[in-house]
Amino acid sequence: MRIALLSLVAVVALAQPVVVPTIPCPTPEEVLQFLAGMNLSPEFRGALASVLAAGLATGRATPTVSLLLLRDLSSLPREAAERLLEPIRFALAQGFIVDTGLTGSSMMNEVRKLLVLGRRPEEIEGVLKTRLAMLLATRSVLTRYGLVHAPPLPPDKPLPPEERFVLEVAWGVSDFLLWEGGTLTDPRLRTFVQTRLNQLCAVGVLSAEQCSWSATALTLEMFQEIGRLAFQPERR
Amino acid sequence: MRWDEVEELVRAALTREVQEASAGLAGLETRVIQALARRPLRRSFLERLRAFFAQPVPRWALVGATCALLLGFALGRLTAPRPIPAYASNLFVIAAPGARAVAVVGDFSAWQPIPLSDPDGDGIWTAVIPLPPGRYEYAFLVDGKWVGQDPLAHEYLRTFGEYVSVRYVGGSGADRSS
Repeated sequence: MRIALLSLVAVVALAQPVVVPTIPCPTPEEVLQFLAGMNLSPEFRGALASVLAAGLATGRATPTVSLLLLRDLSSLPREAAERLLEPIRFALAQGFIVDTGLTGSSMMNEVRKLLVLGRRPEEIEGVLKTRLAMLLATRSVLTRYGLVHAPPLPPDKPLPPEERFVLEVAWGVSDFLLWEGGTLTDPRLRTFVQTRLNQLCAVGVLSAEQCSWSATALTLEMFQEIGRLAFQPERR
Repeated sequence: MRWDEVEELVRAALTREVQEASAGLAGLETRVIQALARRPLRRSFLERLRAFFAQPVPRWALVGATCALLLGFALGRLTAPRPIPAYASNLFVIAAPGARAVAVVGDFSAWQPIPLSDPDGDGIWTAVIPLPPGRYEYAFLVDGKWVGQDPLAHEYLRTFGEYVSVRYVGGSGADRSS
């Protein structure tokens, strides 16, 4: 009888679909503790720790991806690790989202992807600098066109919802230029970014207001201007 | 006719009637008792309930009831419609006959490998991963080799020459493979 009962319990357990467990989530303290033990210059480590702590507290970064990234970079020489972390530190200091966690692409996740792909640190650094330039240019252009109202906020201030829109537009434009082999004069640029934003609206990542901007206010000229500003920072 | 003769006749008639009826009365008491015994007692619902629970519960009945409950629960889990969760289950599947190890890496795992399984050995490797709404880049690793083009992907990107699949999860752009 006991065997029969155990069999039934097993049936109940197996009736659930086989689901892969999710990645464990560390605490922000664990992330900062790991960072404190990394082989980085004290000045850089201090500067990164302050913005990362603020970013983790306000949703601009997540403990899971941050810790995995720091673990990855801890195996690199100090100079290489600092060169890869510097664009992330700068972006955080400017109040940008550097890590959307496990729900999309961002600077931190991009580094992890490129490391898995076996790219060299110099190549990854180049991609990060392009992403950072795109973020700065996107915020500048969208602010000029009145689509972003809030001024840039430091990472310890609450995250404005517009920052996700800035991130997704910047990511769309830079994906087109970096990975699709596109140019700023290519008319497919608007379709590419617009399609991306439409999909993000459909799955509920962007708010209704942002979807409205996406559908009506964004133009090819705006995307081209973002690209020009990113590659000519003196115009920013 | 004299009065005493009439009385005699009446007595004789009554005696005859009693003698005739006495044959039908034979065993009447027994028949009444039997009839009463056959008649079900009409007890109230509470009395019947009390009587039911007053009976000793056999162990097999308890075990049977538990089994039925567990089976019903399992069947219910399999068949009952569920509300759409915030974390939708997403099926990742790839055909890799002869492969020794297959994993999926992506934004959803911070590009850490999540192993796929092929329990029946037919070369179809699968994993179900719960994901919140979003846009996810991912690829498969088949025996450590990058396989970036998933037929179930919504779009593809090329990163440094390697394909990366992209899947949108949630809303009207919900994953079509789940």
